[in-house]
Amino acid sequence: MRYILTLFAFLILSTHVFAAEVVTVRIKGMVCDFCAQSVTKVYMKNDDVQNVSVDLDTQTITLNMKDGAIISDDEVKKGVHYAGYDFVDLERTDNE
Amino acid sequence: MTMNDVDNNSSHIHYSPTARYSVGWRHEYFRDSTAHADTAQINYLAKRWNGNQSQANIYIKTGAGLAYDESDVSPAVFGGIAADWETRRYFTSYQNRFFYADDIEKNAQHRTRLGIAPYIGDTGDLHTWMMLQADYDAGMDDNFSLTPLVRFFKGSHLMEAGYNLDNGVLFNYVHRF
Repeated sequence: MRYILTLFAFLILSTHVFAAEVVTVRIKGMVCDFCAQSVTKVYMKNDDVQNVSVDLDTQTITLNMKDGAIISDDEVKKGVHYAGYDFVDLERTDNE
Repeated sequence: MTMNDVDNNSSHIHYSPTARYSVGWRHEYFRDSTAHADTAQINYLAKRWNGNQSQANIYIKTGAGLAYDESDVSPAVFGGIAADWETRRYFTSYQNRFFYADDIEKNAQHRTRLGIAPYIGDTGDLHTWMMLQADYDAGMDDNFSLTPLVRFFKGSHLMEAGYNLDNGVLFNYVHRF
């Protein structure tokens, strides 16, 4: 019984540990598709990023990470600055 | 990218190692003097302001190479400043360029643009801009000219087409890769 409970708890926890993280980043300065392409190129160089989408209306970029992969706040900020824009804030969610 | 304007036709290819600068090569043909120039060029982003829905930039552009016509070859240098401010609806820019190649070609150009987007598209859509370009070239008989133009922009392709009553067709194409 204890074994079954332990296994059950592990399965519940592992869905969160190995879920793909989604990082939504708000930035300033993106005004056109060339801007969107710059930012996308920067993050797609990171092997842990599955894909990148850009919303010019809300000035946000969404990083869909590969299962179990993480990207630190520092890496996110560096990517924004490297692409030539200003970082505002970010939000992390799980893509379940 | 390829450009054709009031005085010259040019082709450029640039590489941007960072968002701060690009290096490249430029070939241009000056129609008035029938001279050519091949130059290496550096564009440097001196300052950028990132607004909530806007962006402003100041660039410094400079280059050096050779200019030549049917009978002569000369070292060539050029330099200038470009500035722009844009939102997804409005665009304005100013640039100047001072080119010197001894007796083969010398010019001092100033250009400004005002533009408006009749609609705002989503990322990946075809974006359209209506623009008016004003040029002043100290070396030309007709110093001042106005060119209305339209810009189409989709993905990594940008194309501009316009018509100037004094100098004919304007056509620019940029492919970003």
